[in-house]
Amino acid sequence: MNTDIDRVVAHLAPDPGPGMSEGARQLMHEIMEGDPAPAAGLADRRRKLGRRPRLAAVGLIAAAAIGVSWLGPSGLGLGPAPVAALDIKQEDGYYVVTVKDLYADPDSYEAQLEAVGLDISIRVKPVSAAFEGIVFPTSGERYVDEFEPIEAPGTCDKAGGCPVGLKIPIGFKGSADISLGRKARPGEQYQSTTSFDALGEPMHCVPYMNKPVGQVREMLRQRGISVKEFMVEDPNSKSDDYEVKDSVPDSYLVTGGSLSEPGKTMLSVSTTPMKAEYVKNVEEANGCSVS
Amino acid sequence: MGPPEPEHRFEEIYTAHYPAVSAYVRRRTDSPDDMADVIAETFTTAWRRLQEVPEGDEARFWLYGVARRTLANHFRSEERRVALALRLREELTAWAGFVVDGDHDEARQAFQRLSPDDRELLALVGWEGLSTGEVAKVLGCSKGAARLRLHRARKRLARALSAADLDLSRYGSRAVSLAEGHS
Repeated sequence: MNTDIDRVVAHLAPDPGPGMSEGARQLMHEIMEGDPAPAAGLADRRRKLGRRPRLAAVGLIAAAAIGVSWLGPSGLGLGPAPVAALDIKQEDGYYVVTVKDLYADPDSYEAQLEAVGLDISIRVKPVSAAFEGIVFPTSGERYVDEFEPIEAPGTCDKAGGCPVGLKIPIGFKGSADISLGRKARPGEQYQSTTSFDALGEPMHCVPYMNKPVGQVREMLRQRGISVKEFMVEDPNSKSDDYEVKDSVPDSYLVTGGSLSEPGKTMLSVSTTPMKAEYVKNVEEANGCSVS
Repeated sequence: MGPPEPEHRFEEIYTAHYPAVSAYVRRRTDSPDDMADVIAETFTTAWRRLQEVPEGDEARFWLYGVARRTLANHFRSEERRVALALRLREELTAWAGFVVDGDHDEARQAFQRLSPDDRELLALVGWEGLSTGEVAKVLGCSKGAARLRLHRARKRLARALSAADLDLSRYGSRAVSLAEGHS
């Protein structure tokens, strides 16, 4: 069923490289000369990732590690018209940038950045609630780690993080593209979305897993969400194929879901329940009290 | 027989999975130095966390997951260049010189325009040949979540191909229906 697109992708595969070579064997022996003790560096990174474990599972993975997003208080473009699309201040060797108008013409962002000598473009994309304000700076294929997010003080209730600004080193010479998530308008498709139980999404910590479709539909209705389509897995099939349907019996069990636009969700359903242990793990990972 | 010595087990894992892991890394970075760093760091992690490495083919998905995180962290770290793998570095550099630059057809450009997440999902299936369940293991998510995300990624690529005015029929009817928005 899905093999055509997969075949297109397979054609694009870069070649796999030289494989097991003499250098590869030498590396193996070099590694074994080291102590097989826990890697402190990796452990540190894992702890940082652990604060938002669910996002790594469902969404903008690299973004989870950075946890960047920025939305000034006037970021939704409501109220009086802002004088400029961006606010750029100089501070301790950095430009501190905040977005004042998320609906501004992209050219106006670029013009402001260019005026301070930065070759940076900003693309604002409609995203689901957890990613509102998320920012993802790249240069070619590279994540731009020279840019530092400024996180809002206090607890963050969004999987994508709650930054209020971005620090760009003065004298940054490269070019970069920044993707910035904004709230979607009604009917507008999200360009980035995540599981609807992620932190910041409407079903966060709602015990919907393994519940029948009829019951979950009601939970969703109470939150102003309707089901757009169902993704049905055939538990008796060994393949990974799925079928997308407009309707399924109310007795089917819900295994997941995510919003594709404001108020509309796709539900992942099955006729067999997920393992209780898995459900517990997901709830724990989401930071929800386990029932 | 008692449990195998750490060295023995590591050697088994390394020999069985090095080609797949090095291919995974190679397909996601162009620089031979970065490639050698990430391969070395991935297997060093496996050595240091040997008890966590699952048995059999599951080890491969675990290693992909480590390589994936290592790649993501690689560009964010200041102190790079592992003092290992000097010979591997030379080999990869020499070998990279022989690689003919890939064709830049419209399909490749459409793929490149996808988000890194979409590319990774599609690549795990198309390049590493993983099933949805295996993709879920690499990404650390549920099979359901992986399936949803894959579906969307396929749909977006189909649309991008369609927008590039490619003749989708040569890729089959499924691609056409995805591009037209039918699921």
